[in-house]
Amino acid sequence: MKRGAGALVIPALAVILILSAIAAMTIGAYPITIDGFASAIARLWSGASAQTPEERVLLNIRGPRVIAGILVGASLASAGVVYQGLFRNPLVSPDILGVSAGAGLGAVLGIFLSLPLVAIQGLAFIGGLATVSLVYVIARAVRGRDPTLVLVLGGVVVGALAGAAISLLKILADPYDQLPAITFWLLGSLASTRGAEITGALPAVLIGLIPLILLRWRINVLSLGDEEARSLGIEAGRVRAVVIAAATLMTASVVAISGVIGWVGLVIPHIARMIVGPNFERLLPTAMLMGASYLVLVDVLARSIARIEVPIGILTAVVGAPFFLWLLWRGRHGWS
Amino acid sequence: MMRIEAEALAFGYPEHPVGRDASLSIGAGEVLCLLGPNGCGKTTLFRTLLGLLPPQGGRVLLSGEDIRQLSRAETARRMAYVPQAQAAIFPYTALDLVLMGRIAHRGMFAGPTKDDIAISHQALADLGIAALAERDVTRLSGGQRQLVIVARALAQAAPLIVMDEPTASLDFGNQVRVLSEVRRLADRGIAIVLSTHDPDHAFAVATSVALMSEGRIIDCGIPNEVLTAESLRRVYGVDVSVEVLADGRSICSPRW
Repeated sequence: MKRGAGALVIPALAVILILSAIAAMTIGAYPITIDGFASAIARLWSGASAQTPEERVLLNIRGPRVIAGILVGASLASAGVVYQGLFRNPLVSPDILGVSAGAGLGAVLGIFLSLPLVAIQGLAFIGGLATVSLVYVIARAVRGRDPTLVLVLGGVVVGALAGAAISLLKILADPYDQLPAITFWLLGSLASTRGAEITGALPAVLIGLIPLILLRWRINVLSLGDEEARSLGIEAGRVRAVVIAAATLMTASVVAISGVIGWVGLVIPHIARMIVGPNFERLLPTAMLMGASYLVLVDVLARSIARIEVPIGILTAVVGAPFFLWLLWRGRHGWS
Repeated sequence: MMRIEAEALAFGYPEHPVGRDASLSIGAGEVLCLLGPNGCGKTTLFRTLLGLLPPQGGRVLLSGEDIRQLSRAETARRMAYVPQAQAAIFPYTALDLVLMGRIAHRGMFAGPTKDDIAISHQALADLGIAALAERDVTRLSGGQRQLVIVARALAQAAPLIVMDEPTASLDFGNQVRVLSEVRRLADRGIAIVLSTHDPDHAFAVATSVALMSEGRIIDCGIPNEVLTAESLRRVYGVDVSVEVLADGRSICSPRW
């Protein structure tokens, strides 16, 4: 894509995101008309407390849910973009370093111990960061091999261990009370997201996002590989560590509020790259806007296609798995 | 004045030394061609010269300063690297790839400026590939991609360019094209170090040749003196004849 042509894509995606958000606020078990939506938003905006059912639904249920969808989708997509570039592999995703599995283990442990919600989120966050740190330590210890390969394999091994620990906790958990909660959380959902959780996760997401924006050009160069990046004047090891820490922080913070939602971090970066090319300066905002719209819309499906709420992680897998196969089938240029 | 010097350089890894006693010196407008059989340590020597591997002894000087004292960005402003041709992973445009040569000239958190874009277009134009600017590098031929990487080294504006087998895996026409660019760069006053497998390439572009064998530089000097039938047989173990053409150039051909 030519320089400058990307300038049209980003505003268009921003409009799509706004339309998706409005759709998500009005569609549901309690339908809200566009007129009703506009007047409720106008009243809430002016600082009035929620009085009509429309206003209460928007303020307490759908509003937080839509914002959570935006936050989670944008974070997972940007982490995916970063991991794919840094590992020079277009088929990796935030799960690659065991972040999701580690965060999952933390949360499951919290549910198993019947801790309050805040503590469950805290444990998810700690679990995610601990897994990545462990993987990083392993990679440092195994010297003299391809560092990226060691990092990826370390992620697979640590992720598998976390998966085994999760299975153990599921066996031990109370089958009537805890097990359904654990299962639901592992499948991912925005159903129980409330305002307080969002304000908890938002700062961590922003702290993770800032280095990615500041180092955008350097992240491009890192995708050429360490030696080439160093010969171009970049302290490759240091920049990579900062960027991985930032992407992991974003992933762990949103997994803490939404549970494990797979595939978003794999599929969205690909589609974004097909549209605007691999240049991180355009790729990051494109992937964030697309990830946000995608998750908001899939969440509408999750709560409206069946009488019960379908966990959103199931839907993202149903969309993502065939897409992944299609990528493989298209071959080497499939992700370009 | 730009000059790269290796002083009694020992290179390799602590537990696996590759070579030692390498001393070289190349200045503006000179082309040093490094020649030697597979596994003789050329690539390891290159990586040490580039500061990608720490020397196991001796030192590398860039304009008189030890490369270990220089930051990555400082080194990149003095020395550009053209790695061996390899398949591109991500479909950057040629311009995006050339722009990456400018990163050592900008701050930690900067993006490319208008100047950087102009310099990159100029570098592509200098190599006669301005038309490739917006093309996807994964869809370029090997020769075109190699020229794009040379353009990146130009955009990097370093007075010294190190090329690791710039003609490897290129067809005949592209080899000639890349080598003639090497000559033009040297005419512009850029110092060049390159490795090759073909003695004729050294005859064509080099002002001096370093012949390597088993981790040692066994001879270094002007091509016609270093590359003789005798020395090539000693290093490569094959019979060749070196003939001087009517125009004074030498060529090398195997004796069947």
